[in-house]
Amino acid sequence: MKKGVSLKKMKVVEKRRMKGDFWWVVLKGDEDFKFEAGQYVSVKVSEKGERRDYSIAGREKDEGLALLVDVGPGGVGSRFFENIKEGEMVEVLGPMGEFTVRDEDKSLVMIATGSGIAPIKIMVEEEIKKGKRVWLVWGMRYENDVFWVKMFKEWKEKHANFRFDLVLSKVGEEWKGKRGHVQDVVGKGLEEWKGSGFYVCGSRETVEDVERWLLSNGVKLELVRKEKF
Amino acid sequence: MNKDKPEKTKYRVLVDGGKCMGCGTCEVVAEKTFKVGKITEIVDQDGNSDEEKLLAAQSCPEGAIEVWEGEKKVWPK
Repeated sequence: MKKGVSLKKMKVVEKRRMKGDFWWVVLKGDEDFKFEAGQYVSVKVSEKGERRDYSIAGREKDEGLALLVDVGPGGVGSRFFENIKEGEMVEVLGPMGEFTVRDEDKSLVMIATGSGIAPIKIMVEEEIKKGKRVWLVWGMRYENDVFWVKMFKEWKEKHANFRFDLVLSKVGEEWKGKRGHVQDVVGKGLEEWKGSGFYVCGSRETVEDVERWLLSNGVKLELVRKEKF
Repeated sequence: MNKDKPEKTKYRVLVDGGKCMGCGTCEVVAEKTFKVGKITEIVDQDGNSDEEKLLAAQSCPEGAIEVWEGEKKVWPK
């Protein structure tokens, strides 16, 4: 195994529903679990040995880590996290992944769709504290699935270097916020943010669409980093 | 002789290039067996222990890695 990666037993110390199919699950092991914002872990989700990857969405006290789990897909990973209870143990492999913020990026455009917000949230949280200019654009389908908006607005009030936009694709006339897709929102600020590092996370199809769109709109390939589910 | 390398392992791994997305998890888990580039190559069937090779296969999000022990398929079950 590569250096820094290990197999650990961790305890579920907190499990709570965020909204709809989204759960917040906090894991804690006996030893320090060192990771960089943007990395993921592979969790054993069946007795048979099947594993699923989950991005780390938060650092918790006493070296814990938090996962944002979307049980919407309904597969073996979803069933595992729906059924697991606080106090139970899980087998975690990690941390893994290179979807981390490059030091050389002086400003960041963070684009997330759906549960792709998990690694983006912790990256944003850490980078705005370092003073980097950060623009978060989060695309969701329905208003009822949205969470963390209050928190992101609070960050915006506290940090002048942070800009946040939520865009919903399936909303009725009563929705007063931005509607459409993440590209519609990013397009309006692209000239100003073009030299930034672009970090994109979401479903495979969406990430590929967004990447193609960025490149066709003049963003250099080396400035784009992506994580697909 | 490389002390870190198992001398001879039982498990043989196969990568389905049609399923592999090149995420690199297998290389993280069994870095002396897999090399992920434009395609995922098996560089040394005995590069890592059987346990690590099985873990790499189980960790593949696309289920693109098969593990065999002789004629018996060990993974996926």
